[in-house]
Amino acid sequence: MDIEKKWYEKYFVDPMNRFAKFKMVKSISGGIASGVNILLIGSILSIISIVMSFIPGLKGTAFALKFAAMKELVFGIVGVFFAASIGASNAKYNKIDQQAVGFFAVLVYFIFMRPQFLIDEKDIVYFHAEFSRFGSNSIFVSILSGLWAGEVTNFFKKRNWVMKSEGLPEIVKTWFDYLIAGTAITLSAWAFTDLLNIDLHTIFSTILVPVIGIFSSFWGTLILAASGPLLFYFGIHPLSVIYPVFAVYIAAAAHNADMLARGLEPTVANGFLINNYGTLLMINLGGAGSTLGLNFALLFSKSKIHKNLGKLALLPSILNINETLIFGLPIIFNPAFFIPYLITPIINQAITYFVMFFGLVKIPSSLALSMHIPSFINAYILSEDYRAVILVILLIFLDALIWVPFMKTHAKKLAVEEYNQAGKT
Amino acid sequence: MYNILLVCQGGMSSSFIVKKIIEAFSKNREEIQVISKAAMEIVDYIALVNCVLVAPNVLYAMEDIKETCQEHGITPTIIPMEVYGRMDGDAIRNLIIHSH
Repeated sequence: MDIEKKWYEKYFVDPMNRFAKFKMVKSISGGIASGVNILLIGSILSIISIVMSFIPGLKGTAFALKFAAMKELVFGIVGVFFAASIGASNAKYNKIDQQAVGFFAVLVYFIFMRPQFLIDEKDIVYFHAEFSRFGSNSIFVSILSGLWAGEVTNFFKKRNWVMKSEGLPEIVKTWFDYLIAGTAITLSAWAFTDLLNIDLHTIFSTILVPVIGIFSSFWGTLILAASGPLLFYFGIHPLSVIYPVFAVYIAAAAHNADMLARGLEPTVANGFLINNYGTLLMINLGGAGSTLGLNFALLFSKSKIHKNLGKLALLPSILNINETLIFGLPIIFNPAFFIPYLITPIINQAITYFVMFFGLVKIPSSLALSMHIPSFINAYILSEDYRAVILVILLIFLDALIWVPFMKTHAKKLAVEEYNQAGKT
Repeated sequence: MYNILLVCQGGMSSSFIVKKIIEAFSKNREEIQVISKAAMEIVDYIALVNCVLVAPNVLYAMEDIKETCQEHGITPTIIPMEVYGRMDGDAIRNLIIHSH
């Protein structure tokens, strides 16, 4: 037997799996994955506001404005939730109390926000900070807050530097146990940002401008589009390694949403970024590698195996879950499908880029970033442009056409195998 | 009674398999409880179950999963790729019965 590792295992699969195993990567991935759930509420609010926009006479009324302000608020404070969820996810991997660390992460996040307290003539105290410091454009501060809280707590816990609190009720005990760590976290975060005068929000937004520029560029995103299927083909779940990169695209989406809220038209000329997380989700047609077109094609295949799998996978595919196709067809490690699986998302990405570049479809500028809403609905939620829905449907159709010849070849192979097996028995 | 925790990357694809497993068991008039979660959530749920099934999309996290499971005296069972992909409830039922 050939036990020597193949070159791609040695230079691609193994390093990627090692990367995915890093506690930091796992914490960030898990934290963002559960943090985006709060954006799901935002998605529902977006749907409601879209429906409201079709009701005549409602636009500009006090009710509509109040609703819009509430939506803005929900989207605007997700940075806090990301901090808490990344902290909790880190705690999970360190096997320490998730709630305690989640709370500490929120504390750190607020300290890093560097609010001022303003007092008016009536002695009322006001909390004063840029609203953007609460939001998802501050996602890297959220990540740092979460990891800070998690790792410092872990440091104290593992060395058993805790308050000894035997005899106390369990719930009080947890808090006593974490008291020293929590105090250390608070003081260290405060010393770092206030005493050393380091404003993380300014630093990150300065660093992020060129980074977002590279990632959201045409080529940068094409590489990302290719990496999803490439990873999955070699058996690595893309979401296990890509989330830290998604953080950059989430920041890009926040940048767009911010400009849209200021009343700008979502065009390239106005500085909107085509390739933000919203656009990636919009053309995440059926899951990593855009396999929804393939799923529809399978329904019309001559092979019975294909047809059955197509029926089985249809509902998950519409919800952008494609494990059934990846493992069932299978696509993974299957040379017959490597080419279409790799090129389909690249082609989708490139077409979408140019369509948006020339202003034929509005650039998605929403924070309603949900992965598991059917793409033809998601397209409208994200861009509020019916042409985006048409684009998505055309892309699904095109994807199906790309897959058909490869599927036919595979169907023939399956038929031959079936014939041979029937001959044996 | 089997009390099963099925984990995958995000707990999404596995939720479709849960139904199939329950169907396969109820066809044989057997009782079963299955929950599906993300692999990272194992620590939160392992105390509630007596059997852990692992989807083929989280094999990279297998060392972690094994470690957490062993602390609770459970040996996790990996669902083979093609069984998972075809959502083959009966095959998973066999897998559960034969590995426990």
